[in-house]
Amino acid sequence: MNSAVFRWTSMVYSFLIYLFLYVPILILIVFSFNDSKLNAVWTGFTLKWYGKLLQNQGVLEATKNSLYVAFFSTVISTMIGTLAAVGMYRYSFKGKSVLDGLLYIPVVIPEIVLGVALLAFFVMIKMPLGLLTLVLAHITFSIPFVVVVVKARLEGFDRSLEEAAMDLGANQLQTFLKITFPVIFPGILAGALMALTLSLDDVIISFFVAGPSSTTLPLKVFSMVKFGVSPEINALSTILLLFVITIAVTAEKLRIKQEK
Amino acid sequence: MGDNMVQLINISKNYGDNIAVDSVSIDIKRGEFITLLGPSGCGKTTTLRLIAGFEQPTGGAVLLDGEPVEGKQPHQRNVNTVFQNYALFPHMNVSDNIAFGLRMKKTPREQIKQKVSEMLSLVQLEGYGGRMPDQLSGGQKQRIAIARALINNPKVLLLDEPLGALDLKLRKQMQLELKHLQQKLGITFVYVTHDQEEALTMSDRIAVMNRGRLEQLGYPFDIYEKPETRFVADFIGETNLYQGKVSQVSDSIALVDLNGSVVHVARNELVCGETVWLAIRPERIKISFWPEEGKAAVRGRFKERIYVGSVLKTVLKLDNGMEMTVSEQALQPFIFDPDSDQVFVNWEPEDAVVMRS
Repeated sequence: MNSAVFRWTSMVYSFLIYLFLYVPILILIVFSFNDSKLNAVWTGFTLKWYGKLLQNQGVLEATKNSLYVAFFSTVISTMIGTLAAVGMYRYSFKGKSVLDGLLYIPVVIPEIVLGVALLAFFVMIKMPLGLLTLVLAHITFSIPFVVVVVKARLEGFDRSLEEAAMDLGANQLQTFLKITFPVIFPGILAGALMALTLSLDDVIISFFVAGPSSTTLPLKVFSMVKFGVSPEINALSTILLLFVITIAVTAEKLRIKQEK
Repeated sequence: MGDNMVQLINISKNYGDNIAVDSVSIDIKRGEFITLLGPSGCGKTTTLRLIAGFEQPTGGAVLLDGEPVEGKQPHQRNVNTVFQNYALFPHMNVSDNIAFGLRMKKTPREQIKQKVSEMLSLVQLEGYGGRMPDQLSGGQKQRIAIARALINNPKVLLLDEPLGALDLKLRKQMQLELKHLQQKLGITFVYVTHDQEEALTMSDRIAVMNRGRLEQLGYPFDIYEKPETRFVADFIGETNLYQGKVSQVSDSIALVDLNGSVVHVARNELVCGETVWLAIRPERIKISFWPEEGKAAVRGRFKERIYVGSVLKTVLKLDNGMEMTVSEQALQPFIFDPDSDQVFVNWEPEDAVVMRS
């Protein structure tokens, strides 16, 4: 085949792939600025849907809930996940590989199964559904992701750094705080940002464990869509998208930086 | 205060069935530069880690300055280590790396600052304090690692193949620098290497290890000239090593049968009939047309001649089937015809080292 033709077809092919990936999202963003109430025809530019959003009490309440849940689940799952990763890295004990494997299984369990299981569990222990159950559920599914990310960072960690610190007079705690923690910190931060996006995104598990007064943002969007996709939802989705992309890009940048 | 800074008393270290260090006893003197030398896996690094406290012995005891240190953590021992891969803290600059030991001791700021600049000038890297480790060359990293380990005034400095990652020229230069540094500071150095030349160059004494055991402990001269075991003879420098049988013992000499060629050696309390090994250094052997008076001699033919610049190596096939390497100064006139001449290899009886194991 002619190389010019080959180059041309491969360019068209790549273009179509990216079109396929991003056109729906682009349309969503574009129509969030559309003057018409219908998501079909472009009638003019406006920011009124963003304005309306800010006056929507339900949306504001859901945002607050989402941020609350995301904050606590991120902090707690990052702490637990980091300790788990460090423990798995540092110590060897009987049954370690089994326990190590069990940490990752929640990643592959279907979300709907985990959601039902958590709901059944909370009902069984008679815990009222609300922000607390949301936080607990989000911690559950975030921990494995934090462990994976932090462990990846630890793989490249030189054990002799810890030995050098202890050799120079640091005890175990000082060694962790002054050497291990700062060196693996980019990994911990990347893990935390991952947990944050997961928590902000989650619909399925939250759907099961949220109470009537603890709707999160994705759940709010979900319930609003039942009455049709309004430009307001487009605006809300756009904001959510922007937020999550910012976090994801930051996490990726940290990952690249730590690999250097 | 005794003469010994470090005493290893019958120490052993097992990892399950794997014996890394097997009943090693070494007394290391105050201010001495001692090298643990051996091939990889011989237990030299494990021995070093037992002194540092990174590992606890499964048997025996370690004494530092006369005190047993059993169960003491690395930070409780007045011993510092220079690691093979430098182990500089990547998130701290050079000054902070060097200062780490003093910070842990909560030394006042001003004092730390002064000590750090003293250390930087000691390793000739003044002005590098603000650099990050990844902005340094291998040799510079090594010097910083040494400065960092020395700032706590350790009684003993442990060095685990510290020059292994450097190129040959820099390594030679650093060997001498380290040796001078040690003489200047008077600190006891315990140095681990697999490079026999490095060990001979730097050490006051050398402990040769093999398979977890101490093969020989001695001065560089004795290690080279009077190896006590086959392993030491073979590992240090180049040598011709042969198995033989003691065939006759008289008042002053003994005869050893090397596969049919009988040579005489110093008597050395040998017993008739026992199996021994002979090690003869290539530079102690001479080639001649006739056997020389009073020397041990075997007949042979030329096999190969190798020119390596400063010396000329000649490999001969002896009449008893053994091969022997002889090295001579390359400038000497060569009077033999390598293709046809039958010659004799000669050496002084006392130049053949006799070993029983």
